[in-house]
Amino acid sequence: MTLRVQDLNFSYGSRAVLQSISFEALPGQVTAVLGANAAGKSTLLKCLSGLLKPSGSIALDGESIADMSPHRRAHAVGAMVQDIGAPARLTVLETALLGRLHALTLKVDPREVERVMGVLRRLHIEALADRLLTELSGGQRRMALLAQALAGSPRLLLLDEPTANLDLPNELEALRLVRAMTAESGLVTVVTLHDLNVTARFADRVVLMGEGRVIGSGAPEDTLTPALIERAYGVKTRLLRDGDRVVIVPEG
Amino acid sequence: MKKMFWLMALIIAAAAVPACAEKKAVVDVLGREVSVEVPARRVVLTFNFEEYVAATGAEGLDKVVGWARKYWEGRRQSTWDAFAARFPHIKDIPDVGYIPKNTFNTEAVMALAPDVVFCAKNDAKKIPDEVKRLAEAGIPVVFVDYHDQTVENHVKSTLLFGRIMGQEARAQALADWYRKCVNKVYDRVPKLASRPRVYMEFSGDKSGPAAVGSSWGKLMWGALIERCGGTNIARDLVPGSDAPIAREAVLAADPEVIVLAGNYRGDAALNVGLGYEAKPERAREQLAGYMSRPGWEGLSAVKNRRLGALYHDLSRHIFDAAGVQFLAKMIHPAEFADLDPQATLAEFYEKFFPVPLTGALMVTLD
Amino acid sequence: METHSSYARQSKRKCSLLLVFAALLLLAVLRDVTTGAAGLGFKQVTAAVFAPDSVSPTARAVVWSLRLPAALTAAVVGASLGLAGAVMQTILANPLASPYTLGVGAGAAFGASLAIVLDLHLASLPPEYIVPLFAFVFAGGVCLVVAMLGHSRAGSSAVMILAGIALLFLFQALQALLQFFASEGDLQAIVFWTFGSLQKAAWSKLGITAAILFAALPLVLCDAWSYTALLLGDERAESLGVRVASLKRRAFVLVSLLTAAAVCFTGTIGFVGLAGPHIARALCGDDQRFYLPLSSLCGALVLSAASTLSKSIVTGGIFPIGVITALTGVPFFFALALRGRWTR
Repeated sequence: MTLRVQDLNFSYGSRAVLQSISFEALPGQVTAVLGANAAGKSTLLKCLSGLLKPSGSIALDGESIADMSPHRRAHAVGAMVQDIGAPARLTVLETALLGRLHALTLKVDPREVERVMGVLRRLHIEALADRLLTELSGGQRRMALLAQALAGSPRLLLLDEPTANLDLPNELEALRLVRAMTAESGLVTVVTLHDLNVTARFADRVVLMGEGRVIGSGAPEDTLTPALIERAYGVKTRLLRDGDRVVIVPEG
Repeated sequence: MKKMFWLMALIIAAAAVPACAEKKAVVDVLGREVSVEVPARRVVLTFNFEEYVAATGAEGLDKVVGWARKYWEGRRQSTWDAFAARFPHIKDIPDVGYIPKNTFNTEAVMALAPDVVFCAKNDAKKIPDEVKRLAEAGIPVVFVDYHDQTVENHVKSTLLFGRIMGQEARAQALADWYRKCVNKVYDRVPKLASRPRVYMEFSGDKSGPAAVGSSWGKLMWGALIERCGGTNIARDLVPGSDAPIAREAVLAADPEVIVLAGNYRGDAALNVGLGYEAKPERAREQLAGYMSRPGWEGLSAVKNRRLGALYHDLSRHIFDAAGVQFLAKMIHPAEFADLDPQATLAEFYEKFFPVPLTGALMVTLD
Repeated sequence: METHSSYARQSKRKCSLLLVFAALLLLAVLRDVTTGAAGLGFKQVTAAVFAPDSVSPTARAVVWSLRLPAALTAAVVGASLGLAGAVMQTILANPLASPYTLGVGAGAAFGASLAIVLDLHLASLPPEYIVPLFAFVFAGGVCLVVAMLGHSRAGSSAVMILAGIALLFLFQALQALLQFFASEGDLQAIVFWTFGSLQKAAWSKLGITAAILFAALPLVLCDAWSYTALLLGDERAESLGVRVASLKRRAFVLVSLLTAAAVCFTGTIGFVGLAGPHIARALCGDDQRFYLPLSSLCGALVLSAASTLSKSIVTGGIFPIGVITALTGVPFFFALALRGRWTR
C-alpha cells in the first residue's frame, strides 16, 4: 500500500511549480512535507489528491491515482484542504457524512450515521455533531473536515496544514490522533506542516522541498539538519538536544 | 412717362396679390393661439391623415411635404395601399418620424421648411421641446384631436384643417355631415328606457378566439357604448384605457350584445379580419367562431345571436359616425332600425374620400 | 447514541415540514379554485367538480375550463420555478441566482415576442401553441449553447456563467429591438406576455408542464447528496467523488427544461424562482434532500397565493401576475432578512 511518486512535474502556465518530485510514503507512517511558502507543498498535495493533473506518476499500491475514476479516487483518497471558502449551513455530522457520499441514499442508513459518529468520537468532536459549520471556529471546522476525510475509510490520507489555527494543546492532540489512526488502520498519511519541531516529534518521514524540488527526504533526524534547513528556508538554525528529543532553534 | 410708371406699379401689385398668403391667428384644440400662414402651401402631417384628406381633398394631399410614414404604412396597410395606388407620388414623401415611437425628427422637419405642422393632441406631452424649437425656427405647430371621441373636437379639428388649408367650404360640409350623422343617435339615446349590457373586445391577437383581447373602460369604445345607450360590462374593470378582462367576468355579466373590434388585416386567419380587403362572409365565419368559447353558449348574446364586428378604426376618426350608428343599431335594433351605417360610410367615401370603399368594415352575425 | 437519535429527529422534522407545506399547498389551490368573478362559492365548485351535471353549464364551464386549469397551472408552474431556482442557487453558489439568470427566460421572452410579431401559421399546430413553441425553442437554444460551451472547456463553470449572461443581454437587446419595430397591438401583446399570465391556462398545456416537472423531480433528487457536496466548493466536491462539471451541466439542462416548460405557456413570471429557495433554506437548511422539494412547494404556494390575489384585487379585471409575485414575495424577503437568517 505504498505511495510512490516518480518524476512529478507541474506548471501553472509557464511557471514551473514542481520539478522532478520523487519520493515514497509507506503505510502506517506519517510523512511530513515541509518547505517555505510557495515551495509547492499545497500544489503537491493537490496533485496527489487528483485535483491537478501533473506529468509523471503517482501510484498508490501500483495503481495510478490520475487514472482512477472520481468515484474510485474518492474511495481511496481522503483529503483535507485548507479551510473551505464560505461555509455552508450544514452540521458537522452532515459534513462528515458527505465523506461517505457513495454510500448515501435519500433515506440515510442509520449504520452510516453510526459509523460517522464513531469517527467524530475518535476525534473528540461528537459534542459538535449538530452544530452548524457557520457557527464554529476555524479550528473546529478543520476538525469537521478531517472527520469527513476519515469517514470514507481511505487508504491515502492527505492533510494540508491540518494544525493551522489550532492552539497548542489542540494541535498536539490532533497530531497524536492522526498518528494513532495512521498506525491502527495502516494508512498512508501525507501531511504538510509548518512547525519544524512539531514535525520532528510526529513525523515518521520528512520530505523537504525548496523551490519546487525535493531537497531532502528520509527520517526526520536525517532531513532536518541545519544545512538542509538553511537551503529550504534561508534561515540559520541550531540543533539542541533535550534528552532524546531534538529541538531546532533559529539563530540570530 | 408717369403713366407708364403707374401702369407698371399696378401690374406688379396685381401680380403680387395671389402670391400673398396672410398670417392669421388660429386657436387649436389645446387652446393655443398659433399664428399660421393661411392658406398654407407646405404641410407636415404627423397624425390623422384620413381626416386631413377628407377635409382638404386631393389638393390638400398635394401640399404635404413630409409626414410620419409609420402612422400609415404598416399600421393601416390597406388604406395605404389604396392611396398609393391612386396617388403614387405619396410613396416619395419624406418621413419625419413617428411621435408615439419617439422617432420624431425635428431637423428633418426644419429642413422641409413647412408653413405648418399638424400634430395630435395626445402627442403633445411627448414633444414639448420640439414644439418650442420649431416655433423658434418660425414653424408653427397646430394640434388637432379626434381621439377624445367628442363631437366638439371632431368638428373643431375638421374646421381647423379647412381654415388653414384654404378649404373652408369643404371642411364645413364635412363637419356638418358628421354632426348630422351622429346626432341621429345622440339625440335619441336620452329617451331610451333600457341600457342593455354590452361586451366589446379587440379581435387582434393572433390566436383568434382562444386568446382574450382587450376591452375598454371609460375611453374609446367603452365611452361610445355608453353614449349609444348601452352598459359597458368592462367599464369598471379596466384600469387604464384598454386591457383584457377576466373570462369569468364576461360569463358572470352575461352580456346581451357582443361586438368585436376587428383589426386591419383583411386576410387574417383567425381573428375577425376587417378592412379594405376583407370579405364579409369570411368575417362572419370568423365571428361565429367566437361563439364556441367555453361557457359562451349560455350567454344571452349568443343565444339570441346578437354578435357583430366592426373595423377598429371606426372610432376616433372623422368617419366614426358610421361606427356610432352601427353600435347604436346593435344595442337598440328596434329604436334605430331606420339607420343604415353602411350607407353612411358609403356616403362619406363618395363625398369626401378620394379612394373607393371596398371590403368589409362592419358585419353582423346574420 | 444520543446524537444519532437527534439526527433522526431532525430528519423527521424536515419530513413533516414537507408534509405540512404540501397540505398548505392543497389549501391554497382550493382557495384559488373557489375565487373568481363568477362568484361561485365552495359548495358550487365542489358540486361542479364531483357532480358536473347538477350545476348550470356556465358554472361547469367556469370551473372546468377556467378555474381548475388556472389554479393547477399556478401550482405546477410555481413548483417548476421553485425547483429550478433552488438548483440554480446551488450550482451557481449564489443566493441571488434565479432560473432566468443564465438567459433562459430572456430567450423564451424573445421567442414569444418573435412569434407575436411574425404572425406565423404552422399547418398542423393549433394557433395558441405557436407562441409557446417559439418561447420553448429559443429557451432550449440558450440551454444548448451554454451547456455546449460548458462541455468544451471541461469543468469550467465560469465559462458557462459568462455564456449565460452574455446570452441574457443579447436576447434582452434583441427583444428591445423587436419591441421598437412592433405595432401597438403587438407591443401590448408582448408586454402582457412578459408580465406573465395564467389566463391562457388549458388542460393540454398543463399536462406538458406537469409531465416535465414530475419527470425532473426524481432526476434531481437522485443527485441530492451530490448537490449537498457542491455546497462545500467545487474542489471539495470533486475530491469527494462528484463529477462536478458533468453534474452542473446536467443540472443546467434540467433547470432550462423546467423553466422553459413553465414560462412558455405563462410568460416569464418573476420572483417565484428566487423567493421559493430562500424560504425553503430558512426553514430547513442546506440539506438538498429537503431543500429542493421544499423550495418547489414554496414556489407553488407563492404563485398559488398570487393567483388568488390577482383575482381579488380587481374582481373581474386581470392584474398582471408578475407584479403580484414581486409584491407578495418582497415582504417574505424582508421578514427573512430581518430575522438574520440570511444564508451564505
